Amino acid sequence: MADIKVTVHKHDVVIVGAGGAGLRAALEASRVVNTAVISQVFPTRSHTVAAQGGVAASLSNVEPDDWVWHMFDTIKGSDYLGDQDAIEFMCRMAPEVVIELEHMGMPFSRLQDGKIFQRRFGGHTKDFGKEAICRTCAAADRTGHAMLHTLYEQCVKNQVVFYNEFFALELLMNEDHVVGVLAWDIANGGFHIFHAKATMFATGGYIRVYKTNSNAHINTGDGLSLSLRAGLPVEDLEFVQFHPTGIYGVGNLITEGVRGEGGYLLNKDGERFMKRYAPTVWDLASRDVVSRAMAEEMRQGRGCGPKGDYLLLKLDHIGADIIHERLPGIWELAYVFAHVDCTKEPIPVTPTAHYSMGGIPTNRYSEVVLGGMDKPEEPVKGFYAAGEAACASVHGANRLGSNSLLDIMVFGKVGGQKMAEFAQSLPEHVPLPENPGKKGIEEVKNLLNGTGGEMMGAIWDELKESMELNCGVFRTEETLTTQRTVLKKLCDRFKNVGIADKGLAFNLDLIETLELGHMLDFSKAIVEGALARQESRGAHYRDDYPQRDDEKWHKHTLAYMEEDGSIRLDYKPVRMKPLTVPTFEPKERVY
Amino acid sequence: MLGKYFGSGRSGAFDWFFQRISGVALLITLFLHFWVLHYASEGPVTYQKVMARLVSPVWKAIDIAFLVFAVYHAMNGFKMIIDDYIHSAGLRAVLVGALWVLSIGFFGLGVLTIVTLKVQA
Amino acid sequence: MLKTVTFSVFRYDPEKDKKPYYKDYKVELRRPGMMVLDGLNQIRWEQDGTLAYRRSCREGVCGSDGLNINGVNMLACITHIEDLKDPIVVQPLPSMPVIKDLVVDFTDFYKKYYLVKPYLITKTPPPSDRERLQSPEDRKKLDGLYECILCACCSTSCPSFWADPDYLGPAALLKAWRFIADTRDEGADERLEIINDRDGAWRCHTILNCVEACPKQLNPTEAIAELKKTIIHRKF
Repeated sequence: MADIKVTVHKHDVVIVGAGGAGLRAALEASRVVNTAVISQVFPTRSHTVAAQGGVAASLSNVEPDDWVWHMFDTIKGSDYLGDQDAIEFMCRMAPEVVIELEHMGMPFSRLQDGKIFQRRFGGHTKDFGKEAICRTCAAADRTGHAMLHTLYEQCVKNQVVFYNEFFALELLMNEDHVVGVLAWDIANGGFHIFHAKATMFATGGYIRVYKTNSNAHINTGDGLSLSLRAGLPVEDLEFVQFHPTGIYGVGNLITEGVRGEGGYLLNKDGERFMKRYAPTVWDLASRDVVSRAMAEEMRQGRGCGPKGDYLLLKLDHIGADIIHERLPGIWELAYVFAHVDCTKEPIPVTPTAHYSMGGIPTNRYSEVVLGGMDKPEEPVKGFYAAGEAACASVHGANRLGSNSLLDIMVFGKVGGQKMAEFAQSLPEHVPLPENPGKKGIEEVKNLLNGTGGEMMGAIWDELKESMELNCGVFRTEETLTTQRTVLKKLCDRFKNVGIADKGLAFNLDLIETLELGHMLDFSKAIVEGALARQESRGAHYRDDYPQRDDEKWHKHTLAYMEEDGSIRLDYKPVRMKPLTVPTFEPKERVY
Repeated sequence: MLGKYFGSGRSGAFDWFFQRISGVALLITLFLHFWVLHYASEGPVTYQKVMARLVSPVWKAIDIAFLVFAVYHAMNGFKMIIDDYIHSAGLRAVLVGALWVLSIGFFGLGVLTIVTLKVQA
Repeated sequence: MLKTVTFSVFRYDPEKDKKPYYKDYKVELRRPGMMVLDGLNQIRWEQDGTLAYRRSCREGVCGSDGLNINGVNMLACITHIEDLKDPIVVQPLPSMPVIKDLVVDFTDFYKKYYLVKPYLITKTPPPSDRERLQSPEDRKKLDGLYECILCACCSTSCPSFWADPDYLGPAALLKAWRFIADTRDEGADERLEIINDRDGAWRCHTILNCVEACPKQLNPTEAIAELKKTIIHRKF
């Protein structure tokens, strides 16, 4: 094979990922310094576009609300694993970032008085848990679409530089300083080095590693593995959110907004079983609680269908008018994917892998941090992360619905500002290391020139099936140990993987194989973290350790990857001190 | 590319709007024509009767209006086809120019016929 | 044995092929409700890794996988295989340069989208600490407009768009109307100036292919008609 060209680009700030977090950061940074965004897909095709229900903010448009209540709900939702300084920061800033979005032109739905429409959502309550509250600001059930398009429109207006359909291959570091990324031009082929003063990973989540999931094809957690491979840690990967209502069989998401608008879950006896699991808010408990309740119902034989492996989401009683006005996308999805007209019949649903609470560890400024039990957190120079790829940690062990769109707005914005400040403080770019991108370039060349016989598709099938089986809603030492062995075997097979397409132009085979490599790497961190954590907290539920154990496990997991590909675990304390209010001490979680 | 979207030149708003107006006008005048020809006169249609009508000044005015709308509508239709399919500005100028010459020619011939019409002795 | 259908797929690799060709694949129907995208994935993962196409969300909101399937533009991820006639002919979106197989170059399409200033333009500053107000009735005017996913199914199904390489096309024009129709927007003048052009709204001949092609059931033709009406009202 002829030598593939390497092109070098220089920008002050480089952002990898053009979802909500990446674009919000780009809007801030590009006002001040030379900023470029690298994206695997055209920006409006990023997965933020699929978010449905809304973005949480205590605007008090429908009923009086307070950011402290929002903060309490988020901490309680996180099963007290969330870092309270970051959570306070996010909840206080929420109204501001939502109003900014409106000013940018986001087409929010409106209340009669012309203010932004707000609806109820799981886990969001009034006055520290008394009853459900309308806090989630929505544009029908297409909030993510409206948000992502609005942000991209603003980027077009502000002439932000984009490198679309570029795939990141390696995080470039010189000593302890991050100096950019190496990327592959998907459409034309070719290596591109992006040399930057500050680099942000807003690369999204990794849920494609589960068979039944609500995620886009591109959500393969690339940023996490690139950090691991650069010797940096990832945090709390064992906390994988299972959304209660994915469409049975295919996994496409039905927003929690359906239950916020008055929909509810039924078992095969037609019983509203959630009242037994969450006596106060019923179907609007947090997602881990509802998902587990559903799984429990099905385990006890009260699931629907011949296999008893789904439940019903009833919403026809809301009325066809409201469904078509506030949940038009849901109607479409249910009709197309489940052949159900939800104005007349219930939708068959089942808990579905949805979101990763963990990610690249950051502080509340979106700066990537290193730390340990006795080591105070310290930023990695020039490296930032935001959105689902990051772990601030505002979601702890379980994220509340509509807090993720908030997360990407707040930490995207702050990250953008901090990167601009940092880039301005550096007079010169820190030079590239010797032989920059050597590992990433070799990885691609090996695949293009290789003759391995393993099919990527077969390994991936086994990976996602086994992860679902062994590392799903319920986990035990036994299943996790099994999964550890499975992963070891799959990693060995992957060494011999071969691709059929050896061309340079739009080589999807190459991209998907690289993605599979990423998934195998961080899956090890998920499984090791889950195996070590001998307690049940939030989304991580161990059948063999069903209680939360604050004494031993009230701490964040950090996973590092060693040279040989094995995972080394470390821990760091939860940041319990908020910025201005007293600490919310861990309590038993009842909804 | 940008230059093509910003700047001078006829936008097409007039063409589009008057294609519709002339269309409506043609619809009315055509029906009028049809009705007058077939139903408006009593008894058999004779040369004398027709000519008497055609040489009256009112009818000459109506016919000229009919002519204006018909020629405009036809030629503007051709212009739209040229706009659709001809993308080189030069060729387009030549073709639209030719259309103008043709239209003026047809219009002139028509006017000449209408204006000079007399009853033959 | 499982039922199979034939996918006849447009193939072209610029590095190897002089000319495009069609290749037939058998796709197994393994569960009810399989989409065309599931079929393409099955081909890629199990039979032929060299096939290239775009895809992401697989539920019709990201707009990546607009394709011409049995002669009609649609999204592969929300089109049921069972609803189509066998063999299923899968082609790239018409009238765009092919990069490889089913992947086309969107540069021209995006350029036209940028040209209509696809962002809220305001002159009056918004209130400092709260949202601008907009009545539910005014917000309703945006329904059927803001949902566009930029998949290009409409523009690439439009004969005017095929015939005139400079025509803005239904997608860009719909986007322009989405902003002009927004009561918060104050950029109608500058946008209409761009749209009132030989290659703007006037190239639409109400063929209605765009309406039929739109996978989100939007109506670009109606939006273009609104644009035309607005221009005429302002001018005459």
